[in-house]
Amino acid sequence: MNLFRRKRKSGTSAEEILLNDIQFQSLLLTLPVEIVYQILDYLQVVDILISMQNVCKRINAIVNTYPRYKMLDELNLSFCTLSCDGIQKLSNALRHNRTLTALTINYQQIDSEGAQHLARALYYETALTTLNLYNNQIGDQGAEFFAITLQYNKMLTTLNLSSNSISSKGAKFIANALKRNKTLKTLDISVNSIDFKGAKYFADTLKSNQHLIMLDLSLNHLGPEGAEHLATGLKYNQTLTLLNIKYNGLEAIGSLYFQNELAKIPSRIKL
Amino acid sequence: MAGNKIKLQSNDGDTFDVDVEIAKQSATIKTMLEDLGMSEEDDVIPLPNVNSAILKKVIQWATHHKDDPPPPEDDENREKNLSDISSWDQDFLKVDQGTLFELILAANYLDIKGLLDVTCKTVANMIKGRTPEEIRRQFNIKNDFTPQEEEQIKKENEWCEEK
Repeated sequence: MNLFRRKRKSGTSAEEILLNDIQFQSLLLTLPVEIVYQILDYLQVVDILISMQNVCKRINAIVNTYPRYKMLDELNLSFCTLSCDGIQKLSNALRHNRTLTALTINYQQIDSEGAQHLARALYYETALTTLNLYNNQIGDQGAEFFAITLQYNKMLTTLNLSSNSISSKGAKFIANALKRNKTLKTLDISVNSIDFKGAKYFADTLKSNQHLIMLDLSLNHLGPEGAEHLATGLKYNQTLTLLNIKYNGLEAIGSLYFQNELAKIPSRIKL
Repeated sequence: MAGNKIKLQSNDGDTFDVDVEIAKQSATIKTMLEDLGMSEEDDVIPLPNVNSAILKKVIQWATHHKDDPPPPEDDENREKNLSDISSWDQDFLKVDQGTLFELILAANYLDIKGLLDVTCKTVANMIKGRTPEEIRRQFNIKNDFTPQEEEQIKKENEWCEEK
Protein backbone atom coordinates (compact mmCIF):
# COMPACT_ATOMS: atom_id res chain seq x y z
CA MET A 1 0.00 0.00 0.00
CA ASN A 2 2.92 2.34 0.54
CA LEU A 3 3.19 2.56 -3.19
CA PHE A 4 0.01 4.59 -3.24
CA ARG A 5 0.52 6.78 -0.25
CA ARG A 6 0.42 10.43 -1.04
CA LYS A 7 0.79 13.66 0.75
CA ARG A 8 -2.41 14.45 2.52
CA LYS A 9 -2.27 18.14 1.79
CA SER A 10 -4.01 19.15 -1.36
CA GLY A 11 -2.90 22.07 -3.46
CA THR A 12 0.48 20.55 -4.16
CA SER A 13 -0.66 19.39 -7.55
CA ALA A 14 2.46 20.63 -9.34
CA GLU A 15 4.54 18.61 -6.98
CA GLU A 16 2.33 15.60 -7.48
CA ILE A 17 2.56 15.88 -11.22
CA LEU A 18 6.32 16.08 -10.95
CA LEU A 19 6.33 13.04 -8.71
CA ASN A 20 4.20 11.18 -11.19
CA ASP A 21 6.44 12.12 -14.07
CA ILE A 22 9.46 10.77 -12.29
CA GLN A 23 7.82 7.52 -11.38
CA PHE A 24 5.46 7.34 -14.32
CA GLN A 25 3.45 5.01 -12.22
CA SER A 26 -0.09 4.56 -13.47
CA LEU A 27 -2.38 3.48 -10.66
CA LEU A 28 -4.74 1.85 -13.12
CA LEU A 29 -1.97 -0.46 -14.28
CA THR A 30 -1.14 -1.56 -10.74
CA LEU A 31 -4.62 -2.94 -10.12
CA PRO A 32 -4.96 -6.73 -10.17
CA VAL A 33 -6.40 -8.02 -13.43
CA GLU A 34 -9.60 -9.24 -11.77
CA ILE A 35 -10.38 -5.73 -10.56
CA VAL A 36 -9.78 -4.26 -14.01
CA TYR A 37 -12.22 -6.88 -15.31
CA GLN A 38 -14.76 -5.66 -12.76
CA ILE A 39 -14.33 -2.12 -14.06
CA LEU A 40 -14.75 -3.33 -17.63
CA ASP A 41 -17.98 -5.06 -16.57
CA TYR A 42 -19.58 -1.62 -16.50
CA LEU A 43 -18.65 -0.73 -20.07
CA GLN A 44 -20.22 -1.74 -23.34
CA VAL A 45 -18.01 -3.95 -25.46
CA VAL A 46 -17.98 -1.28 -28.16
CA ASP A 47 -16.79 1.29 -25.62
CA ILE A 48 -13.99 -1.06 -24.57
CA LEU A 49 -13.01 -1.52 -28.21
CA ILE A 50 -12.93 2.19 -28.93
CA SER A 51 -11.47 3.52 -25.67
CA MET A 52 -9.23 0.79 -24.29
CA GLN A 53 -7.73 -1.00 -27.29
CA ASN A 54 -4.22 0.29 -28.07
CA VAL A 55 -3.78 2.44 -24.96
CA CYS A 56 -0.71 0.45 -23.98
CA LYS A 57 0.51 -3.13 -24.13
CA ARG A 58 -0.60 -4.15 -20.66
CA ILE A 59 -4.15 -2.90 -21.24
CA ASN A 60 -4.25 -4.69 -24.60
CA ALA A 61 -3.18 -7.87 -22.81
CA ILE A 62 -5.87 -7.44 -20.15
CA VAL A 63 -8.59 -6.50 -22.61
CA ASN A 64 -7.74 -9.36 -24.95
CA THR A 65 -8.24 -11.89 -22.16
CA TYR A 66 -11.43 -10.29 -20.82
CA PRO A 67 -14.22 -12.85 -21.36
CA ARG A 68 -16.90 -10.54 -22.74
CA TYR A 69 -14.40 -8.99 -25.13
CA LYS A 70 -13.09 -12.35 -26.26
CA MET A 71 -16.61 -13.29 -27.28
CA LEU A 72 -16.86 -10.24 -29.48
CA ASP A 73 -16.48 -11.74 -32.92
CA GLU A 74 -19.36 -10.03 -34.66
CA LEU A 75 -20.27 -6.43 -34.29
CA ASN A 76 -23.34 -4.84 -35.80
CA LEU A 77 -23.46 -1.08 -35.60
CA SER A 78 -26.36 -0.61 -37.97
CA PHE A 79 -28.61 0.88 -35.33
CA CYS A 80 -26.11 3.24 -33.78
CA THR A 81 -25.49 6.81 -34.80
CA LEU A 82 -21.92 6.94 -35.95
CA SER A 83 -20.12 10.08 -36.96
CA CYS A 84 -17.06 10.05 -39.18
CA ASP A 85 -15.10 10.62 -35.98
CA GLY A 86 -16.65 7.46 -34.55
CA ILE A 87 -15.68 5.51 -37.65
CA GLN A 88 -12.14 6.75 -37.26
CA LYS A 89 -11.97 5.70 -33.60
CA LEU A 90 -13.42 2.32 -34.49
CA SER A 91 -10.93 1.89 -37.32
CA ASN A 92 -8.03 2.70 -35.01
CA ALA A 93 -9.30 0.14 -32.52
CA LEU A 94 -9.50 -2.57 -35.17
CA ARG A 95 -5.74 -2.52 -35.41
CA HIS A 96 -4.24 -5.22 -33.17
CA ASN A 97 -7.72 -6.59 -32.55
CA ARG A 98 -7.70 -10.33 -32.95
CA THR A 99 -11.24 -11.13 -31.97
CA LEU A 100 -13.58 -9.23 -34.26
CA THR A 101 -14.17 -11.14 -37.48
CA ALA A 102 -17.42 -9.64 -38.77
CA LEU A 103 -18.36 -5.99 -38.88
CA THR A 104 -21.70 -4.72 -40.12
CA ILE A 105 -22.46 -1.03 -40.47
CA ASN A 106 -25.64 -0.58 -42.51
CA TYR A 107 -27.88 2.42 -43.10
CA GLN A 108 -25.31 4.96 -42.00
CA GLN A 109 -23.81 7.94 -43.74
CA ILE A 110 -20.33 6.51 -44.21
CA ASP A 111 -18.78 8.65 -46.93
CA SER A 112 -15.46 8.37 -48.72
CA GLU A 113 -13.65 9.69 -45.66
CA GLY A 114 -15.17 7.03 -43.42
CA ALA A 115 -14.36 4.47 -46.09
CA GLN A 116 -10.78 5.69 -46.01
CA HIS A 117 -10.51 5.02 -42.26
CA LEU A 118 -12.01 1.55 -42.59
CA ALA A 119 -9.89 0.71 -45.62
CA ARG A 120 -6.82 1.81 -43.72
CA ALA A 121 -7.71 -0.52 -40.84
CA LEU A 122 -7.97 -3.39 -43.32
CA TYR A 123 -4.66 -2.45 -44.90
CA TYR A 124 -2.75 -3.87 -41.96
CA GLU A 125 -3.45 -6.66 -39.53
CA THR A 126 -7.07 -7.13 -38.58
CA ALA A 127 -8.98 -10.32 -37.98
CA LEU A 128 -11.95 -9.14 -40.04
CA THR A 129 -13.19 -11.64 -42.58
CA THR A 130 -16.58 -10.07 -43.24
CA LEU A 131 -17.31 -6.42 -43.80
CA ASN A 132 -20.84 -5.36 -44.58
CA LEU A 133 -21.37 -1.71 -45.52
CA TYR A 134 -24.75 -2.10 -47.20
CA ASN A 135 -26.50 1.21 -47.80
CA ASN A 136 -23.89 3.85 -47.12
CA GLN A 137 -22.40 6.64 -49.25
CA ILE A 138 -18.81 5.63 -49.92
CA GLY A 139 -19.02 6.50 -53.64
CA ASP A 140 -16.30 5.99 -56.26
CA GLN A 141 -13.63 7.48 -54.05
CA GLY A 142 -14.50 5.14 -51.20
CA ALA A 143 -14.41 2.26 -53.66
CA GLU A 144 -10.91 3.35 -54.63
CA PHE A 145 -9.77 3.22 -50.99
CA PHE A 146 -11.11 -0.29 -50.61
CA ALA A 147 -9.50 -1.26 -53.91
CA ILE A 148 -6.09 -0.21 -52.57
CA THR A 149 -6.65 -2.25 -49.45
CA LEU A 150 -7.93 -5.31 -51.32
CA GLN A 151 -4.63 -5.62 -53.13
CA TYR A 152 -2.88 -6.28 -49.81
CA ASN A 153 -5.45 -7.67 -47.42
CA LYS A 154 -5.23 -11.42 -46.89
CA MET A 155 -8.07 -11.93 -44.41
CA LEU A 156 -11.27 -10.53 -45.88
CA THR A 157 -13.47 -13.10 -47.59
CA THR A 158 -16.78 -11.23 -47.81
CA LEU A 159 -17.29 -7.61 -48.78
CA ASN A 160 -20.68 -6.02 -49.17
CA LEU A 161 -20.67 -2.60 -50.85
CA SER A 162 -24.25 -2.81 -51.99
CA SER A 163 -26.12 0.48 -52.39
CA ASN A 164 -23.15 2.80 -52.06
CA SER A 165 -23.40 5.17 -55.07
CA ILE A 166 -20.60 3.42 -56.95
CA SER A 167 -20.39 3.94 -60.72
CA SER A 168 -18.26 2.19 -63.32
CA LYS A 169 -15.40 4.44 -62.29
CA GLY A 170 -15.34 2.95 -58.80
CA ALA A 171 -16.02 -0.51 -60.19
CA LYS A 172 -12.85 -0.22 -62.25
CA PHE A 173 -10.71 0.21 -59.11
CA ILE A 174 -12.34 -2.72 -57.35
CA ALA A 175 -12.21 -4.99 -60.40
CA ASN A 176 -8.53 -4.25 -60.98
CA ALA A 177 -7.70 -4.84 -57.32
CA LEU A 178 -9.33 -8.25 -57.47
CA LYS A 179 -6.81 -9.32 -60.08
CA ARG A 180 -4.24 -9.28 -57.25
CA ASN A 181 -6.44 -10.35 -54.34
CA LYS A 182 -6.45 -14.05 -53.52
CA THR A 183 -8.77 -14.25 -50.53
CA LEU A 184 -12.06 -12.49 -51.30
CA LYS A 185 -14.75 -15.01 -52.11
CA THR A 186 -17.93 -12.97 -52.05
CA LEU A 187 -18.40 -9.49 -53.42
CA ASP A 188 -21.78 -7.81 -53.32
CA ILE A 189 -21.76 -4.60 -55.28
CA SER A 190 -25.44 -4.62 -56.23
CA VAL A 191 -27.73 -1.57 -56.21
CA ASN A 192 -25.14 0.81 -57.57
CA SER A 193 -24.90 2.58 -60.92
CA ILE A 194 -22.41 0.36 -62.74
CA ASP A 195 -22.96 0.28 -66.53
CA PHE A 196 -21.47 -1.77 -69.38
CA LYS A 197 -18.02 -0.23 -68.86
CA GLY A 198 -17.92 -1.53 -65.29
CA ALA A 199 -19.10 -4.91 -66.55
CA LYS A 200 -16.12 -4.98 -68.88
CA TYR A 201 -13.70 -4.41 -65.99
CA PHE A 202 -15.27 -7.22 -64.01
CA ALA A 203 -15.19 -9.45 -67.09
CA ASP A 204 -11.43 -8.84 -67.36
CA THR A 205 -11.06 -9.68 -63.70
CA LEU A 206 -12.96 -12.92 -64.08
CA LYS A 207 -10.43 -14.03 -66.65
CA SER A 208 -7.55 -13.86 -64.18
CA ASN A 209 -9.12 -14.09 -60.70
CA GLN A 210 -9.67 -17.71 -59.71
CA HIS A 211 -10.79 -17.11 -56.14
CA LEU A 212 -14.10 -15.26 -56.29
CA ILE A 213 -17.09 -17.55 -55.82
CA MET A 214 -19.99 -15.12 -55.69
CA LEU A 215 -20.38 -11.83 -57.52
CA ASP A 216 -23.58 -9.85 -57.14
CA LEU A 217 -24.09 -7.13 -59.75
CA SER A 218 -27.88 -7.08 -59.60
CA LEU A 219 -29.77 -3.79 -59.84
CA ASN A 220 -27.11 -1.94 -61.77
CA HIS A 221 -27.22 -0.63 -65.35
CA LEU A 222 -25.18 -3.30 -67.13
CA GLY A 223 -27.45 -3.58 -70.19
CA PRO A 224 -27.06 -6.12 -73.01
CA GLU A 225 -23.54 -4.94 -73.77
CA GLY A 226 -22.44 -5.46 -70.17
CA ALA A 227 -23.95 -8.93 -70.24
CA GLU A 228 -21.94 -9.75 -73.32
CA HIS A 229 -18.70 -8.72 -71.62
CA LEU A 230 -19.47 -10.78 -68.53
CA ALA A 231 -20.42 -13.83 -70.57
CA THR A 232 -17.09 -13.60 -72.36
CA GLY A 233 -15.24 -13.28 -69.07
CA LEU A 234 -16.94 -16.39 -67.75
CA LYS A 235 -15.47 -18.47 -70.53
CA TYR A 236 -12.08 -18.19 -68.87
CA ASN A 237 -13.18 -18.46 -65.27
CA GLN A 238 -13.16 -21.73 -63.33
CA THR A 239 -14.35 -20.75 -59.87
CA LEU A 240 -17.34 -18.42 -59.89
CA THR A 241 -20.47 -20.34 -58.98
CA LEU A 242 -22.93 -17.54 -58.49
CA LEU A 243 -23.28 -14.47 -60.64
CA ASN A 244 -26.31 -12.33 -59.99
CA ILE A 245 -27.19 -9.91 -62.78
CA LYS A 246 -30.91 -9.60 -62.23
CA TYR A 247 -32.61 -6.29 -62.96
CA ASN A 248 -29.97 -4.89 -65.25
CA GLY A 249 -32.04 -4.15 -68.34
CA LEU A 250 -30.52 -7.10 -70.19
CA GLU A 251 -33.43 -7.74 -72.57
CA ALA A 252 -33.60 -10.96 -74.49
CA ILE A 253 -30.37 -10.45 -76.36
CA GLY A 254 -28.31 -10.06 -73.16
CA SER A 255 -29.70 -13.26 -71.72
CA LEU A 256 -28.87 -15.03 -74.93
CA TYR A 257 -25.13 -14.52 -74.43
CA PHE A 258 -25.35 -16.36 -71.16
CA GLN A 259 -27.49 -19.11 -72.52
CA ASN A 260 -24.82 -19.83 -75.09
CA GLU A 261 -22.16 -19.96 -72.38
CA LEU A 262 -24.27 -21.99 -70.01
CA ALA A 263 -24.95 -24.56 -72.66
CA LYS A 264 -21.26 -25.37 -72.60
CA ILE A 265 -20.83 -25.53 -68.83
CA PRO A 266 -24.20 -26.45 -67.39
CA SER A 267 -25.14 -26.19 -63.72
CA ARG A 268 -22.21 -24.06 -62.69
CA ILE A 269 -23.65 -20.60 -62.82
CA LYS A 270 -26.94 -19.50 -61.40
CA LEU A 271 -28.15 -16.27 -62.80
CA MET B 1 -26.10 -7.43 19.55
CA ALA B 2 -26.68 -3.84 18.53
CA GLY B 3 -24.24 -1.40 19.96
CA ASN B 4 -21.39 -3.89 20.23
CA LYS B 5 -18.14 -2.51 19.00
CA ILE B 6 -14.96 -3.99 17.66
CA LYS B 7 -11.57 -2.46 17.16
CA LEU B 8 -10.01 -2.25 13.70
CA GLN B 9 -6.34 -1.43 13.39
CA SER B 10 -4.84 0.13 10.28
CA ASN B 11 -1.35 -0.65 9.04
CA ASP B 12 -0.01 2.56 10.52
CA GLY B 13 -1.14 1.59 13.98
CA ASP B 14 -4.30 3.66 14.51
CA THR B 15 -7.25 1.87 16.08
CA PHE B 16 -10.89 2.57 15.24
CA ASP B 17 -13.96 1.56 17.26
CA VAL B 18 -16.67 0.40 14.91
CA ASP B 19 -20.17 -1.05 15.39
CA VAL B 20 -20.09 -4.77 14.71
CA GLU B 21 -23.01 -4.53 12.31
CA ILE B 22 -21.24 -1.84 10.30
CA ALA B 23 -17.97 -3.75 10.24
CA LYS B 24 -19.75 -6.89 9.07
CA GLN B 25 -20.45 -5.29 5.69
CA SER B 26 -16.91 -6.43 5.09
CA ALA B 27 -17.18 -10.13 4.32
CA THR B 28 -13.55 -10.48 5.33
CA ILE B 29 -14.18 -9.12 8.84
CA LYS B 30 -17.45 -11.03 9.12
CA THR B 31 -15.61 -14.28 8.39
CA MET B 32 -12.92 -13.44 10.91
CA LEU B 33 -15.52 -12.81 13.60
CA GLU B 34 -17.64 -15.84 12.87
CA ASP B 35 -15.21 -18.51 11.79
CA LEU B 36 -12.31 -17.62 13.96
CA GLY B 37 -14.55 -16.98 16.94
CA MET B 38 -12.87 -13.74 17.87
CA SER B 39 -14.34 -12.17 20.95
CA GLU B 40 -15.64 -8.79 20.09
CA GLU B 41 -14.71 -6.78 23.14
CA ASP B 42 -11.07 -7.42 23.68
CA ASP B 43 -9.38 -8.26 20.44
CA VAL B 44 -8.13 -5.85 17.84
CA ILE B 45 -8.54 -6.87 14.23
CA PRO B 46 -5.40 -5.89 12.33
CA LEU B 47 -5.87 -4.80 8.72
CA PRO B 48 -2.31 -4.80 7.36
CA ASN B 49 -3.40 -3.77 3.85
CA VAL B 50 -5.25 -0.58 4.77
CA ASN B 51 -3.88 2.72 6.06
CA SER B 52 -5.65 5.06 8.47
CA ALA B 53 -6.84 7.62 5.93
CA ILE B 54 -8.43 4.96 3.73
CA LEU B 55 -9.83 2.99 6.65
CA LYS B 56 -11.50 6.18 7.87
CA LYS B 57 -13.12 6.62 4.44
CA VAL B 58 -14.21 2.99 4.34
CA ILE B 59 -15.82 3.27 7.79
CA GLN B 60 -17.53 6.49 6.70
CA TRP B 61 -18.96 4.71 3.64
CA ALA B 62 -20.02 1.63 5.60
CA THR B 63 -21.71 3.76 8.25
CA HIS B 64 -23.77 5.61 5.64
CA HIS B 65 -24.73 2.34 3.92
CA LYS B 66 -25.38 0.27 7.06
CA ASP B 67 -29.09 -0.15 6.34
CA ASP B 68 -28.72 -1.00 2.65
CA PRO B 69 -30.18 -4.30 1.47
CA PRO B 70 -27.44 -6.76 0.49
CA PRO B 71 -26.35 -6.20 -3.12
CA PRO B 72 -27.73 -8.72 -5.65
CA GLU B 73 -25.59 -11.49 -7.03
CA ASP B 74 -23.90 -10.83 -10.36
CA ASP B 75 -24.75 -12.46 -13.62
CA GLU B 76 -21.72 -13.72 -15.44
CA ASN B 77 -20.84 -12.17 -18.77
CA ARG B 78 -23.42 -9.47 -18.59
CA GLU B 79 -22.94 -5.81 -18.92
CA LYS B 80 -23.80 -4.04 -15.71
CA ASN B 81 -25.69 -0.85 -15.22
CA LEU B 82 -23.47 2.20 -15.24
CA SER B 83 -25.89 4.98 -14.52
CA ASP B 84 -27.03 4.73 -10.93
CA ILE B 85 -24.50 6.13 -8.52
CA SER B 86 -26.30 7.82 -5.64
CA SER B 87 -25.52 11.48 -5.13
CA TRP B 88 -24.09 10.72 -1.67
CA ASP B 89 -21.65 8.23 -3.25
CA GLN B 90 -20.79 10.70 -6.00
CA ASP B 91 -19.84 13.30 -3.40
CA PHE B 92 -18.05 10.68 -1.31
CA LEU B 93 -15.93 9.69 -4.32
CA LYS B 94 -14.90 13.20 -5.29
CA VAL B 95 -11.34 12.37 -4.30
CA ASP B 96 -7.99 12.28 -6.04
CA GLN B 97 -7.16 9.25 -8.15
CA GLY B 98 -4.73 7.87 -5.58
CA THR B 99 -7.47 7.72 -2.94
CA LEU B 100 -9.96 6.27 -5.40
CA PHE B 101 -7.65 3.41 -6.36
CA GLU B 102 -6.72 2.79 -2.74
CA LEU B 103 -10.43 2.55 -1.93
CA ILE B 104 -10.84 -0.01 -4.70
CA LEU B 105 -8.01 -2.12 -3.31
CA ALA B 106 -9.31 -1.77 0.24
CA ALA B 107 -12.86 -2.69 -0.83
CA ASN B 108 -11.44 -5.70 -2.61
CA TYR B 109 -9.33 -6.78 0.36
CA LEU B 110 -12.12 -6.23 2.87
CA ASP B 111 -14.62 -7.76 0.45
CA ILE B 112 -17.21 -4.98 0.63
CA LYS B 113 -19.17 -5.59 -2.53
CA GLY B 114 -21.19 -2.36 -2.54
CA LEU B 115 -18.11 -0.19 -2.18
CA LEU B 116 -16.18 -2.15 -4.79
CA ASP B 117 -19.10 -1.82 -7.21
CA VAL B 118 -19.46 1.92 -6.84
CA THR B 119 -15.72 2.63 -7.07
CA CYS B 120 -15.33 0.42 -10.16
CA LYS B 121 -18.32 2.21 -11.69
CA THR B 122 -16.64 5.53 -11.05
CA VAL B 123 -13.51 4.41 -12.90
CA ALA B 124 -15.65 3.00 -15.74
CA ASN B 125 -17.25 6.44 -16.06
CA MET B 126 -13.77 7.93 -16.41
CA ILE B 127 -13.12 5.57 -19.35
CA LYS B 128 -16.38 5.74 -21.25
CA GLY B 129 -16.33 7.79 -24.44
CA ARG B 130 -12.63 8.66 -24.27
CA THR B 131 -10.01 8.05 -26.94
CA PRO B 132 -6.95 5.93 -26.09
CA GLU B 133 -4.86 9.13 -25.95
CA GLU B 134 -7.27 10.68 -23.45
CA ILE B 135 -7.16 7.46 -21.40
CA ARG B 136 -3.37 7.68 -21.27
CA ARG B 137 -3.53 11.25 -20.01
CA GLN B 138 -6.34 10.52 -17.58
CA PHE B 139 -4.57 7.58 -15.94
CA ASN B 140 -0.98 8.63 -16.48
CA ILE B 141 -0.21 5.70 -18.77
CA LYS B 142 2.85 5.63 -20.97
CA ASN B 143 2.37 4.72 -24.60
CA ASP B 144 4.70 1.74 -24.76
CA PHE B 145 4.23 0.60 -28.33
CA THR B 146 7.59 0.16 -29.96
CA PRO B 147 8.98 2.68 -32.44
CA GLN B 148 8.36 0.13 -35.21
CA GLU B 149 4.71 -0.05 -34.29
CA GLU B 150 4.49 3.73 -34.12
CA GLU B 151 6.25 3.92 -37.46
CA GLN B 152 3.66 1.62 -38.92
CA ILE B 153 0.88 3.89 -37.71
CA LYS B 154 2.65 6.87 -39.25
CA LYS B 155 3.11 5.03 -42.51
CA GLU B 156 -0.56 4.26 -42.60
CA ASN B 157 -1.33 7.93 -42.25
CA GLU B 158 1.00 8.84 -45.09
CA TRP B 159 -0.61 6.23 -47.23
CA CYS B 160 -3.95 7.84 -46.59
CA GLU B 161 -2.81 11.39 -47.11
CA GLU B 162 -1.54 10.61 -50.59
CA LYS B 163 -5.07 10.07 -51.73
